[in-house]
Amino acid sequence: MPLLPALLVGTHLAHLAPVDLAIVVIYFAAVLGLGLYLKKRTDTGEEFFLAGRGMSAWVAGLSFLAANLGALELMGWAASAYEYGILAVHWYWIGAIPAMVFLALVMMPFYYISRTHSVPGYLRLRYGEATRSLSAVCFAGMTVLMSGINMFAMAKVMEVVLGWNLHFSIWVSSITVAIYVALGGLTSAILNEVLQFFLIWCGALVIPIVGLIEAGGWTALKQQIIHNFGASYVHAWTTLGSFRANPMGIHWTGIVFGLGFVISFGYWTTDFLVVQRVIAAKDLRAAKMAPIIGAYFKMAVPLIVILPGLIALGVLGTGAHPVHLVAESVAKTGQPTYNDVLPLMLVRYAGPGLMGLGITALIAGFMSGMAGNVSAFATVWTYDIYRPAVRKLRGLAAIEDVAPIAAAAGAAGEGVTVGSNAEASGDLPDRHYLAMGRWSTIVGVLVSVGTAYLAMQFNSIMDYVQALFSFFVAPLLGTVLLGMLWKRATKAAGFWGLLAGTCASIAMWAWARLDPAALSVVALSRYAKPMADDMYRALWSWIVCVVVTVVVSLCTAPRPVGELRGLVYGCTPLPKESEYAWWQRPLFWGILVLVILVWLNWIFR
Amino acid sequence: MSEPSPRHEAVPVWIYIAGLLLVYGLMVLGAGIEQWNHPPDIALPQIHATFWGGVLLTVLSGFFLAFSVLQHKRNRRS
Repeated sequence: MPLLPALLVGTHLAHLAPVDLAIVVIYFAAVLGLGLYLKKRTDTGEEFFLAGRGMSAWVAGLSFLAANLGALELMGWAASAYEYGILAVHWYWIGAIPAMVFLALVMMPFYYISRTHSVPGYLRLRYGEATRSLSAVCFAGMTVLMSGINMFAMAKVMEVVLGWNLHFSIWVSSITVAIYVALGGLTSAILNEVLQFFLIWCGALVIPIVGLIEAGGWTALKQQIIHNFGASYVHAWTTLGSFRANPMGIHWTGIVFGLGFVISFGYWTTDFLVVQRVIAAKDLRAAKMAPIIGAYFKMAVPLIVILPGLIALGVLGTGAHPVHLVAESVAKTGQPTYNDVLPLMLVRYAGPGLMGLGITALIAGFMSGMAGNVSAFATVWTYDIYRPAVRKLRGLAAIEDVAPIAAAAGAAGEGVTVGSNAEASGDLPDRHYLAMGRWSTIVGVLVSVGTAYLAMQFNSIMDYVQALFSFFVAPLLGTVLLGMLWKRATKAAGFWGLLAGTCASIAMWAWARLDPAALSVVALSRYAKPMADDMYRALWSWIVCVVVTVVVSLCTAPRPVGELRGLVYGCTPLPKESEYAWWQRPLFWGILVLVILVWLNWIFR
Repeated sequence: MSEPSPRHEAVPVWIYIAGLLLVYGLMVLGAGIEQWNHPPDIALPQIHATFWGGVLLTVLSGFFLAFSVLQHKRNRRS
C-alpha cells in the first residue's frame, strides 16, 4: 500500500495542510480508541446488538438522526438543492418530522414493549416466520449494498477533492469500521455517530455563515437566485400546483402523500438502521423522546445541507470566473457536477484548519453510514437469519410466536437476552451469537468492500440503489402499520401483502425503464421527473400492499387476541405518563415540533 | 446489595466528545492565528473565518467539557 504523501496525485480541488492531516489522523485514532475502550464492556448479546438497552434519550436521539446524516446524504442533498432549489428542503421537513413524531408517539411503544431486537423480529412476532424471513433477507442485502455505496462514495470524494487513491480510501475506512464495530458493537456505532453529529456541524457550518456574508444576506441571495435561475428555485410550496411549474417536475400530491407519508414514514418508522438506535434506549420514555429530539435537530439540518446548495446557485454563477455545475450524465471530463457542490463550497470558504475539520466531517459521515449499515446487518443476520436456521438444523421448535407481554411473565420471548434460557432449551449459548455478531460484522464489511468495487463498474448504480431502497421501504410501511394498528391482519396477509407491494414496486420501475411513456401513468404526468416517479411509485406500492393485506386478512382466520398483546393497538395496555409534568411528556414536545414545522413551511412557502 | 460492575456504568461519552472538540478547537485556532497575516487563497479571507471559528469552537467545547465533567462527577456521587 503506498505511503500517504504519494497518494496526493493528479488534479484535485484541494490539498490538506499538515494541520488538516493531523485533524484527520486524530479522528481515526479517536474512533479506534473508543472501540477498544468499549470492547471490555461488550460481552453479551444484548450489549453487542442492542447497546445493553442503556442509551439516554439524547444519545439515542442524536444517533437516530446521525445514522441518516451520512456524507452521502449531505452531498446528495446539497447537490439536489443546487439542481431543484429550495424544494429539496421538503426531504428534511415534511419528509421527516411528522414521521419521527409518529414513530415516537404511536409506534415506539409497540417496538419497545414487544422487546424485539429488530423490525424483522417484530414482523415474526406479528406475522410469523415467513414474513420475517422475507423482510430480513431483503434488509440484509440492502444494508451491505448501501454500506458499499457509502464506501465507494467516500473514496470517490477523496479522489476528486484530495487526489487520494481510491483503493487506499476504501481499505482504510473499511478496516477502521470493521475494527470499531466488531469490538464495541452497537454501542461503538452509536457513540461514534454522536461524535460524527458534532463533527458534521463543526465542519460544515463555515459554508452557510461565510456564504451568506458573501451573498449579502438571505434576501440578497434570494434575489440573486431569482435573477440567475428564476423564482421557482426559492419557493417551497407555491410552485407545486403544476408538474411544469417547478424544477423537480412534481405535484404537491407527490410531496404530501408520496414523500410526506409513504417514503418518509416507511424510512423513519420501519428501516431498522434508524429504528435500532431508538430500541437501544434505556426505557420507554427515553425511546419516545429520542426521535423527537432527533426531529428538532433534523429541522435545522437544511442550514448545512440545503443552504450551501442555494448559496452555490447565487454565487458560483457570478463574478470574474463563473462556474456552472451540470448533471453527472452530461458532464465532460473534469467538468464539475451537481455532486461536487459541497466540496466546491468547502474549498471556496475553508482555509487550513477548517478544511481539515470539513474533510473529517465528510469522512466521519461516510464511515458512520457504513458502521450503521454494518451493525444493523450483524443484528439481522445473527438473529433473523442465522439463529432461526440453527434452530431448524438442531431440530428445535420455533421460538414462541408471541411477544413477551403475551407470554407468561418472564418467559423468554423474541429478545436477545435468551442466552441462559436458550441453553437450557437446547439452543446455542449467548456467547456463540455474540461471536457470530462480531464475525458477521467483519464479513459484512468485506462484502461491502466487494459491493464498493461493484459500484465502480456502473456509473448509474447510485440511481438503482435508491430505486432498490424504495422497493422495500414503502410496502414494509403498509405491513408494519396494519400489523400495529389493525388486529384483524393475519399471518398470511402480512406475507402476501409485503410480497405483492414489493413486486408491484419493482414491476412499475421496470415498466418505466422499458417504456418511458409509463411515467405518465405511474407519476400521473408526462412532465414528471425521476424524483416524482420515485414518490408516486412508492405510493402505489404501499396501496397495493395495504389492499392485498386487507383482502387476504378478510379471507383468512384471525389470530386470537391474546396472542396480539404487546403487538397491536387496542390489545396492548400502554403505560401512562401521568407521573410526568406536561412539559416532560413526549406528547408536548412532539406537538411543539409540529407547530414549528408548519411555521417554517409558511415562511418559506 | 452487590456493587454494579464497571461495565454497567454510563460511558462518559459527552466528556469524550467535548475533549476531542476542544483539541480540534485549539488546532483550528492555532491555524487561524498563523493565517491572520498570511491569508489563504479563499473567498473573503479578510473576515478570518479560521481564527473566529477556532475561537468559537474552543470556547463552546471548553464550556461543554466543564459541564460534562461536573455532570459526570455528580452522577457518580449519586
